[in-house]
This record gives sequence, structure tokens and C-alpha cells, in this order.
Amino acid sequence: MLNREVIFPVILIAFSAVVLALIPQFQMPLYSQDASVGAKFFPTVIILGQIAICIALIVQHFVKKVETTEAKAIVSKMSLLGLVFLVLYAVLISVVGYLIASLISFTGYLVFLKVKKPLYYIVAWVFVFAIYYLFAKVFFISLPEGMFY
Amino acid sequence: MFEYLIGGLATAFSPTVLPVLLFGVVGGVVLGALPGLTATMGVAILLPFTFGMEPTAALVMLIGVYIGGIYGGSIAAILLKTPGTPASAASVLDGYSMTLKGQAARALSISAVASFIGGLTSTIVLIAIAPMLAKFALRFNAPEYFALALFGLTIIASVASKNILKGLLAGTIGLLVSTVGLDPVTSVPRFTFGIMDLYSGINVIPVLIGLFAISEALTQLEHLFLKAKANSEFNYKLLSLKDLKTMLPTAFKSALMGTSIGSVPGAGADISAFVCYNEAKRVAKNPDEFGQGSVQGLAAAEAGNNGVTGGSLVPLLTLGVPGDAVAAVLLGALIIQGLTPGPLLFSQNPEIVYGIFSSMLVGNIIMLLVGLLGIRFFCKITEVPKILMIPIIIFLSIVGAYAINNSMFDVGIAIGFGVLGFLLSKMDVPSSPILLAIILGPMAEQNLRKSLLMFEGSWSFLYERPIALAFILLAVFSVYSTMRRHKKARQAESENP
Repeated sequence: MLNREVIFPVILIAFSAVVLALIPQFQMPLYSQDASVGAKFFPTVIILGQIAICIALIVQHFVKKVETTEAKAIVSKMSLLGLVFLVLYAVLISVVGYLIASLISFTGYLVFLKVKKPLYYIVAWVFVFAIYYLFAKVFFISLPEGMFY
Repeated sequence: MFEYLIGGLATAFSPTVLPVLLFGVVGGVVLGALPGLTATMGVAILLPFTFGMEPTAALVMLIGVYIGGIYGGSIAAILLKTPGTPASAASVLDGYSMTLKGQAARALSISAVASFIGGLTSTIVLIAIAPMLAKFALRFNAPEYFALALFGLTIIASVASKNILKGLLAGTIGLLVSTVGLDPVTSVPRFTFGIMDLYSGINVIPVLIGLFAISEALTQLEHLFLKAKANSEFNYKLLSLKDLKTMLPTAFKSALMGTSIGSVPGAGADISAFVCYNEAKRVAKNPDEFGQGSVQGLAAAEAGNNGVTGGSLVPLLTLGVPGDAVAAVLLGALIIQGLTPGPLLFSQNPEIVYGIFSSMLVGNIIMLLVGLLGIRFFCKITEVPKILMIPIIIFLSIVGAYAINNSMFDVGIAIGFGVLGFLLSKMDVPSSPILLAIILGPMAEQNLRKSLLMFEGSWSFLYERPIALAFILLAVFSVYSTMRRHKKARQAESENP
């Protein structure tokens, strides 16, 4: 039966084929160099190596019957939620800036997970303000300010 | 020399310098522990504060930040699997495994002691043989750098504990990522797709944050509502006498290796930590313990990265050549203070040079004290409930990724690599080789092509240059010994299933 130990290398081989097709499209250097290898050499060697390793992994799976990874779902509901949270936070931070985005996101996360302890909310807000103070006021590192400032 | 050194120690303990040094080390530890803020960034951030200071105090503070920053990165690496700096990425492998076993205090104390050994040895070597080391480092040219990078890349086989092929596959992914951007020799754009942010290549710090911190947050989220394992009870036990005996030989060896690597311009603490880790694993009696919470593994990585602190100052102070990014910022600090780094500095301003040396000795002692006394405080982090810790890791990761270049593009890179690291972990593909390849890939490519230009297309530099040949033989030996070890492990497994 085809499992992820086979599908994964096959996907990577397909990806490598796309990359291999992109390599000849690199521009020519403006000044010709007296070099035996050019800009295409290293990526080509890497991709060919990657394809060879993927083939070896498939062969290893069928010939040596290597222990397969447990057949759990690759992405669980919680990790998918985490990913959505990450992306939403990144979008929010670029729109309204660090402080507001972090306060909304942290609070929203705790509400979503039905956290009832007030202490957790206090810790969350203190953390957000502490990071803001440390970065912006102590180290003078600018944090995302959003589009409206 | 000794009278200057004693004079330097008097300066280091003077009421004007000691508080500044203390502030520098503690500030460095805090900065290093925050993901995205490297020791380089810490030194750069505090540089403007030194403009009005007296030269010795100014340089001492920056060096304090450097020493503290390299150590501080390991705190987050050990406790949260979120390396504060690239130099502490190798410490995740065994440090975080110890934390998972409830031995965070033990891991942190091993890290503090090993860092102290690394920093102190490195400083002593710096004082004793700085000019000699500088001459050795000057013999490094493109072929030697290529061979060093090649040797470093063989670590990939060693880091991949379960399946070498999967480790190598991760290595090729990292190498491919390292080719994105302008070609280092001809400036031809590669895989940039017209996106300006990609022209300068993919920055290693967002990748590091993504692969280790974000992917870990996603993994922890999956286990959020699962009951914790019974064996992960937390204890505050520090390292035992047995641990100390086990780690001392490895720590001293790694400290010396780190100093040598640091003295070579271009090879920083991140490379040193991985090279020392690999070497410790290669010669260990029980290499299978590496990655599972090995005392030697953690000590090697920590002594290796702190060993660089003294080494990187060798070319700076003796030749005026900055060996790495931190040394470049320090070079700026020296110039701002009206000093000219190089051989003349030793004859014209010996009190400053030996003031720096002595402060490094004292700075390492302060780092050890801060590290050991702060363990109880640092460990409180592990007691923070997971439900709060996950968003904290995510926020620190996003802010850290943004802070490097004030760029949302880097945030996107961190998220992308976070997802990649998470998916690869499901396939038992390790993340460390990707990072290692991104760090070493450009060094390998650039110097291979420079070597070929130097030798007019001939590959003879691989065997004509003694230092390069020595590294290549070491690389071959490293791969051979790793493969032999894997073969033995497989045989043992089949005999005792």
C-alpha cells in the first residue's frame, strides 16, 4: 500500500523536477567569468542529490522494509487551528500593529479555548505590555506599528 | 605581560568598570534569551550607549554583552526549544531533551558550567597565543574555507540519528534554500521570482525561529489537552559531580576547538557549536545517547559556542580584521573611541588590550554566577501552563522574526519554515540539518567557486593545500565513522529486537 514514506519522496521528486526546470532560466552574468562552474552548478548538484536521496528512500522502504512512521494524521485539528491563529496574528499585526494585535489575539485565543481563570488573562496582557516596553522603550527596536500610524 | 594583566584585573574590578561589565553580561543574557535577538544585535543595540564612556569601560560593556548573549541564547533553547541565537541551535538537541525529562535545572547548570569553561579557556588562549593563532588564521584562503564548510556539512549525517537518508534529504533542502538570492560570485539572481526581499537571500534567523520555535508551538498545541507523561516531573537538581566528571574532558576539548574555529574569520559560534557537537558524538562511548539528553552533547555545544568569544577577538585585536559580525561591531566601537585595531594596539594602548582581556576573565565568572544563581528563576518558565506558553512562544517568534530587519517578509519566512519543520517532523525528517546547511551552504559554494577561479578550473586545491586536505580527510573519516556506527546499531537491533 502506498503510504507517506513513499508519497513524501515522490512529492519531493516532483518539486525537484520543477526546480531543475527553473535552473536553465537563470540570467547570464553581465561580465563573463573565467570560471569552470557558474551560478547553475551548485543548485543543479543539490537537486540531483535530492532526487537520488528520494529514490533511495523509496527503494529503502520497499527493499529493506524500514519501520514506517506511525499512521497518524499529518495535521490534527489543533495544529491546523494553531496555523490559522499564526496567520491571523501575522495579518493583524501588519494592519493594527504589535500592541493591539497581540492584545486581541492573546485574549481571543484564551476565550476560544474557554479559559476562565482571570489570572491567565492578566498574565497575557502583562506579557504583551512587557515585551512592548522591553523592545520599544528599552532596546529601541521598532515593533510593527500597523498601517494606520 | 603579567604586570599589564594585573593592571587589567585592577581595571576590571574598579568601581567604574565592574558595574558596567555586570550590566553588559546581564543585559546580554536577557537579550540572548529573546528569540531573534542575537549577541551581534545586542552589541549593536548597546553601542550608542558607549559613545560617552571612557574607552576601556565602553569596550568591556560590549564584550560583556557578547559573552552574556552567547550564553543567554541557550536558556530559551534548553527550556523552550526556541534557540535565542543561532549559536545555541545545537544546544536544543540534548538540552531540550533533558527539560522534557524534568531535568531543566541540570541542563541549565551544565550549560552554564560548559559555557564558563568555553569562555574562560578561550580567553586564556587569547591572552597566551593570540599572535600565533592570528598567523594560523591568516593561512586560510578559499580552499581551506571550502574544506572547513565541507567538514561542517558532514555533521548532517551525524545529527540524523534514526535514518541517515532523511538527514541528508533535510540537508539538501537547506542547501537549496541557501542558493536563493544573488549568486555570490556573478550576482545572477537565483530563485528570486522578481521578489526584491529574496535578492539578499533567506535570512537564517527567521528560518531558525520557524524550524524550532513555531514548529514546536504547533506540536505542543496538538498535545495541549493530552495528559503529561508521569516521568516528566520537574526537579531542581543541578549537575552532579558525576556529570561534571563526564563533561569536563569534552568541554575543554570543545573550548579549544571553539577558540580555533572562532579565530578563523567567517566561522562563528553557530558553526563551532555544531562542529564540536559532532566531534563529541564521534568519539563518545555511547553516541546513541546524543540527542536524548546527553551531558557530553550539551557540554560540547555550549563550550564550543562560548569558546568562540575569545577566538573571534584574535584577528580583530592582532590584525584589525573582524572575524565575525560581533567583531565587526566591536571594530566600530574601537574606531569610535579613537583606537586603531591591529598590532599597534598592543604597543600603543596595552592598558586597553589587557583591560579587555582581564574583563573577559571576570565577565565569564559573572556569567557563571548569573547562570547558576538564575536557574531557579529561569526554570519558572517551565512551570508556566502550556495553554499560556504556546501563544507566548508564537508572539516571541513573530516579534523576533520581525525585529531582525523590521520586515514582515521575515515573519512570513518564519511561519513558512515553522509549517515546513512541523510537517517534516511528522515524517521523522530532522530540522537541524536544514539549518546547518543554510549556514554552511553559502560558505561552501562561494569558496568552492573562488578556489576554482584561483586554480584556473583545476580541482587540485583539494589535495595540494595541507590544511584543506586535513579538513577533507576529517570529513571523509567523519562520514565513515557515522556510517559504521549506524551499521553497528542496526546489527545490534536485529540481534536484540
